[in-house]
Amino acid sequence: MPTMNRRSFIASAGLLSASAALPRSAAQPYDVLAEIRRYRKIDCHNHIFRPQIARELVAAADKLEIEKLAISDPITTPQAEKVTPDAVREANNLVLEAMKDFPGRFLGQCFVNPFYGREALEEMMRCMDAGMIGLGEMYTQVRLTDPRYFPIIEKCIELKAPLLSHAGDVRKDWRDPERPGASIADDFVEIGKRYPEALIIYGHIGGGGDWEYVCKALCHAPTIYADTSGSVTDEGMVDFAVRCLGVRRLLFATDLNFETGVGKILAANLTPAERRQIFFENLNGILRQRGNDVH
Amino acid sequence: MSIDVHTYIGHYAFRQLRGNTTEGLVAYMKRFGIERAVVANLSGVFYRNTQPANEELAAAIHPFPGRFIPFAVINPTYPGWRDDLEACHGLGMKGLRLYPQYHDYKLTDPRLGKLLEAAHGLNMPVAFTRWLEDPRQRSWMDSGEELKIDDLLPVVAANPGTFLILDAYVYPVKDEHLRVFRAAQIYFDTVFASATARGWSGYDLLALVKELGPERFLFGSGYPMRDPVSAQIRLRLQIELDPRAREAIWSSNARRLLKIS
Repeated sequence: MPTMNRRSFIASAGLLSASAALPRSAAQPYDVLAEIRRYRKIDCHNHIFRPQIARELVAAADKLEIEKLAISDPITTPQAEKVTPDAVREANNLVLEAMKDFPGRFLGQCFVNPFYGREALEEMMRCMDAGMIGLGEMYTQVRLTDPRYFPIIEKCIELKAPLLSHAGDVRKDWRDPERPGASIADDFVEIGKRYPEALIIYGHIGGGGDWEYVCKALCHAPTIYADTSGSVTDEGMVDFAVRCLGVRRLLFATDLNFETGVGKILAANLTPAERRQIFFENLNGILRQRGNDVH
Repeated sequence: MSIDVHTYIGHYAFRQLRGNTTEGLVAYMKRFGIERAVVANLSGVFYRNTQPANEELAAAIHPFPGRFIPFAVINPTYPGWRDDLEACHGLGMKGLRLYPQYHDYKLTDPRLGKLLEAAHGLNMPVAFTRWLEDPRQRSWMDSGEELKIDDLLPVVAANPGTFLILDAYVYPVKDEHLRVFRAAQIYFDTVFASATARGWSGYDLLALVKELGPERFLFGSGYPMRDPVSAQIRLRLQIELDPRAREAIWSSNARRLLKIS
C-alpha cells in the first residue's frame, strides 16, 4: 500500500466518526447541491445501447453537472467467436452517431474483440481517426493476459490511448465460469507488469465483486488505473480504494449509476483537492497525453 | 426535517463499518438534517438468538430520546420469538426487520405468517430488505441469497393488513405487482432505488412512484452500510416530484406510518 500518514490511517481505520460527508464542521448542514456544483466532472465509464438513450444520458449528466461522458457500446456475449467484426463496427457506429448528435458531450470509446486480431486493429484505427479517445469498455471475450490481446495493447501504447476494460466479478478463489474470458483484478496486475507504460483502466470497482479483494490486488499494480463506477455504493469503498491505490489512480465514473456514482465520491473522506483529482483531473491527465484533454 | 427509515448500528460480519454506533448515527443525522432515524442492530442478523441484539439496541438509543425509532430483529424460526416480540414491544420497539435470507427460512414458512400476524396485532410495521451486500461480493460464509420482490409478492398478498416496508426495487414492474401492492398496506424504502437514467436493469423509480403514488414511499439511506450522500442526491435532485410529494417521501409518510407527531 502507499505510505500512510496519520490522517489517512485514522480515516481508513474507522477512527473518524464516519464518512467525509460527516462532520468536518457539524454546525453546517450538508448542502448536497452545492457539493455537486463544486466539482467539474468527466465520467470515465458510461454506455449507449440504443440511440434513444443519448438524450437520457445527457439529461442525467446535466443534473449532476457532469461535463463529458466517455461512452461505449460493448457487446457482452462471452463467446468470442460470436462477436463478429461486423457487429463490432455497428456498435461503434452507434457511439460515433451519439458523438455527432451531442457535440462535446460524449467521449467515444471504441469496443473491439481481440479474438479477431487484424479486424480489431483496423476497427480501432477507424474509430480513433473518427475522434474516439481510446478503447472501452473492452468486454469478456478475451482476457487481458491472453497473447491475442497484446497487439491491441501495444497499439494503445503507441497511440497513447487509454484502454478501459470490464473487470469480472471476483471473490476469493472464484472466477465466473460463464465468462472465462473475463479479466479479474489479478489479470490487471499481471498485464500491468508486462506493459507498465500502458494506460489500462480497471472497470468499476463497485461493479459487484469483492472490492476489498480488488483494491488489495491492485495495490501492487502501480500503473493500473481504476474507475469508481458500478452499482455498489458501500460506505467506505472509495476510502479503501484511495488507501490502496492512492488518489492519483482513481477515476470517477458512473456506468449508468448516476447519483450513486457522484454520491460515493462526495461521501468519501477526501479533501476538495483530492475530489477534484478523482472527478476530473486524473482522467484529464490521461486524455492530455493524446491531446484530448478538456479545457 | 426528514426521517430516515433505514439505518443500523452494530457490526456487519464481513466488513468493517464506520459510524455504526448511535453516536455515529447522530453525527450523520445532524449533518444531513435528519430529525429521526429508524434503526436496527445488525448484530441481530448474525446472532443465532437475536434478542440480545435488540436489548443492545434499546440500551444504545437510551441516551438519545426522541432521535431513534428502534426496529427489532426477530427470527420466527427460533424458540421464544413470541416472548421476544412482546419484550421488544415493551421496550418501545416500533417495528421489525426480518432477514429470512440470513436466518435460513423460506418465505413460505408458516412461522413467518404467524409473526406477521402478531406484528399486525401489535401495529408494528415489518421491513424486509433485498440484501445487506451485493451477493456478487459475498463472503465465503454468506449464502448470498437475494430477497426478490417476486418471492415476497405472496407474503404481501397473504398479509394485506400488515404494514410492510420493502425496498423500492421492482423491475420489471408487472400488473400483478401493482395489483398486489395496491391492495396491501405496503411502503417502499428508497435505499436501493436508482432515480436517474435507467441503468443496466432498466429500473425506474419515478415510474413506480407514478403508478403507486408518492404516499407509499419512504426515504431510506441504508447508512452506514451504504454511503450517506447517494440517497440524498436521489431525492433532492433526481426524482421529478412536486414539493408536496417530495416532502411526503422525506418525512410525512414515515410520520403517518410510525405514528410520529
